[in-house]
Amino acid sequence: MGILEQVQEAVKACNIGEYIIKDTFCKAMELYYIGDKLDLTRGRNTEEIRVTVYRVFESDKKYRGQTDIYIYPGMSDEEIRKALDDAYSAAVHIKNPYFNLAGVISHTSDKGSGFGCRSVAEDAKAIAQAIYSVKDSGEKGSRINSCEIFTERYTVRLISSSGTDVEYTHRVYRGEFVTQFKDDNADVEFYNSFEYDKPDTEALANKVREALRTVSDRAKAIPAPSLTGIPVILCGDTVREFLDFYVQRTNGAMVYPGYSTYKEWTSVQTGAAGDMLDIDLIPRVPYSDETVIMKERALLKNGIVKSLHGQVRFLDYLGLEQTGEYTKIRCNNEGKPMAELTKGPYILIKKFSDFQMDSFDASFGGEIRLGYISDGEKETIFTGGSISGNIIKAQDTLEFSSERYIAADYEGPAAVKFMI
Amino acid sequence: MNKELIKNLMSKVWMVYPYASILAMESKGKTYSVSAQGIIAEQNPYFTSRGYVIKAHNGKRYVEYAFNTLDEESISTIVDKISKLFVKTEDMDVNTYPSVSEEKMTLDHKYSARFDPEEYTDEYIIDRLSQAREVGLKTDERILDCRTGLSYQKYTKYFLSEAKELTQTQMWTTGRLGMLVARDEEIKNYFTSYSSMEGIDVLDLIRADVKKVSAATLELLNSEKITPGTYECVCTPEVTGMIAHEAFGHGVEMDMFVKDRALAKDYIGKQVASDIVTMHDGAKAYNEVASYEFDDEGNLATDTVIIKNGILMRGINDMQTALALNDVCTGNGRRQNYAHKTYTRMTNTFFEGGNDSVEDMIASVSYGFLLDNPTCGMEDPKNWGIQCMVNVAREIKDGKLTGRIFSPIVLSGYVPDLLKSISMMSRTPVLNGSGMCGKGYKEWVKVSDGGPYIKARIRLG
Repeated sequence: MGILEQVQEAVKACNIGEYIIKDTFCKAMELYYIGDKLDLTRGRNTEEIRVTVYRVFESDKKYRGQTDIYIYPGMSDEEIRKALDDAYSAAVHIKNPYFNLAGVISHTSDKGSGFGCRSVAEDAKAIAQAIYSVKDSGEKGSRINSCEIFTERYTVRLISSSGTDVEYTHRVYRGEFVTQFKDDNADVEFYNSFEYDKPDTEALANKVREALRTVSDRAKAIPAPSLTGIPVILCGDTVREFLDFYVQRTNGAMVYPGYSTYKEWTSVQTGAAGDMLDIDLIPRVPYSDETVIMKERALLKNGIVKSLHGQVRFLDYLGLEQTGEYTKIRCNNEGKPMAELTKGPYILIKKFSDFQMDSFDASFGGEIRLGYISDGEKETIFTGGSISGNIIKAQDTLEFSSERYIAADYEGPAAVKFMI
Repeated sequence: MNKELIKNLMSKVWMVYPYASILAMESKGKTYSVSAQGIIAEQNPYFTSRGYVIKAHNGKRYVEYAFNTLDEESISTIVDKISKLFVKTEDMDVNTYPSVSEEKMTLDHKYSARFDPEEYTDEYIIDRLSQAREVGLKTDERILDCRTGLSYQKYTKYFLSEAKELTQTQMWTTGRLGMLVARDEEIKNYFTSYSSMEGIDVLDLIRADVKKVSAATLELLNSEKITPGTYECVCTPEVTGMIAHEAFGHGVEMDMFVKDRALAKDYIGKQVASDIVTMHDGAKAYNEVASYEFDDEGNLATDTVIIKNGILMRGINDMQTALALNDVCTGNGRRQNYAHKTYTRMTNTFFEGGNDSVEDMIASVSYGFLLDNPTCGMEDPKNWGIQCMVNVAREIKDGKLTGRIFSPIVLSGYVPDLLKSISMMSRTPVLNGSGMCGKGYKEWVKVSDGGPYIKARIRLG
């Protein structure tokens, strides 16, 4: 009997009436490079089962407790039953107000991210090839210092007590690479990460090309001048992190407890100036872990909230349609070319040490590893210093670029400009 | 954990490879949280896992294979999978490494905590957290929420090679207390955290700090934006720890030396800090959340003196790094869990105490800040840049706290400049292990860091 069957038997034996079982297989290949030499190869073949146990009970009012436990191959029937028993006993102390579970998914489908039968090993080599084949960018002295590549194939089966039984396959291509510029006068580097849901070797090669081109700029950078009072332009992955404020503030987990005041139809921008936000939520998998069918949804249109989203419990409390949980957004703002955005004075920040967007106090900022400052005529490369701002103040001055950027969690403008 | 089955598997692997080792891990961790979002009490996927990883050397290089299905039927498949990892990459240009040479060793260590969370019911822990939360909410009607939490992890690791058979069981517990207050659309947040090797005694610490955290949260309603500049700063032990960890600790992870990514490589034996600074890292350097007997490659834990009286002595490493640099192993080879590679990772990282009192340190500042409540940081081993963020800077003028609060604050600058400017240190180092450390943005391991209060010149923005 496989571990899944053991779990299903145990759930019945423990009289657990409501549950969701998530059975995840992962097959992966990992390649670790120092320079352009393979330093270590790893293979991974794992199975993990998460059981979410629910329990409805009443004391002063009606509650539904829930708790997660993890089961692994090799656990005995006795171990599994004890874990489930303990979870079911614990659930009666998790006094969350009663909520309705997601409905049954009545069809079965395998909407895998496919890409044929290529193995994770073949995919890993293709990703390595995409990274190391970029030789036409950057100054002499720019190179890939090191690189890590992970190609993963997940097969997920969701089974619920109410009758859902669905399966899907999801592939992830992710990793990091460090670009280095070294000559007699300088030795500088940038850390870069990537993640895609399909083997987008073209997008990856473009990312590598850009990283090789810009790392040599860090060697030419002067210490940061004064950075106040000038429009700021953020690029690439930082744009996604900046917009994460809206993803968090519309999440039921923030709205329900009163951390966020956003509701459907809330106007988040005044419209006084700048681009009005147009953002969609995009699913990366066909079903959420709580068995909600995922689909594309409008998050913000013309600066107005169209959807709240998040876990089943919070959306039920808020009396809203179940959406599932999202990590990917598409920003549809069409914007203007970078050539226009960079007219007049600006600070364009290519790389932060670590950009932070705090969805609680709306502050953002970080130390700058590479920036370009212009007085409207001359552009100077700088490093160091930092910016900090408040998105609630900045959001009425947004200008997006028409150039686009793609990552696993983002499709949209490659840059956004605003006043701090 | 079926050690006989593991030995049976490895006997087949050793027939093929000159060196091979296996790490078997069983770990369970739980997180409890009580807040306006509701009650959470569940196993935490970051702290819960079960599986195996084999590291094999074919005479030329290493591969690893991670899996969690092991029975008699799967043994030949596992051996075959390892072989395929070599075969599938034999056409690639590879780094070669010697096979590690090990001394015979056995060890069996069990850690026990006085207040083991597993000996208390979920109901008890949830009730204690709920009670502390209720007290917090009642401190002031402006408090939007009080959030309390506790996490723990208990793990067993078994390392087997032809020379070594090592077993250890360890446990750590952490606690959290945070409060939120609204200033229009901004939610101000102040939190404290705790770590313990003794278990749920952190619940007492949470309860004891409720009024202090409430007061600190409400202060943030009047927080201002700082004028960027370089200032005299007194750092609380938590901020000192973040500096030790982010600004310096990551810079001496010697896997970065191998990759030519660390400036520290060129400073061994040189002055990098003021002569009152001595810094340690080690699973044996302090009894905290990252304490263990052996690392994830079977190397014994140590106490590494990284900086002594301002001089950079050495860094920390993992096995492959030590082989590449012809260095002794420091016992810092750590994995997030069996499914992840080993990297050189910090453990318990801290500055030793000095001779000054905190009162004297504050009194010595003509204009500057007391930095408190660190939130996050990022390493820059290549250029020794600092990026850390703290939640609170309290203004000091003419040796006294003025009551003005600035938030949030970015610390930046050049690490040796900061460390060389340390002019005062309080007597007693304090460590905290509530956070997780990433290598970049992944590979999360439990660490602690800390030190005494320090006085230094730091660029703030």
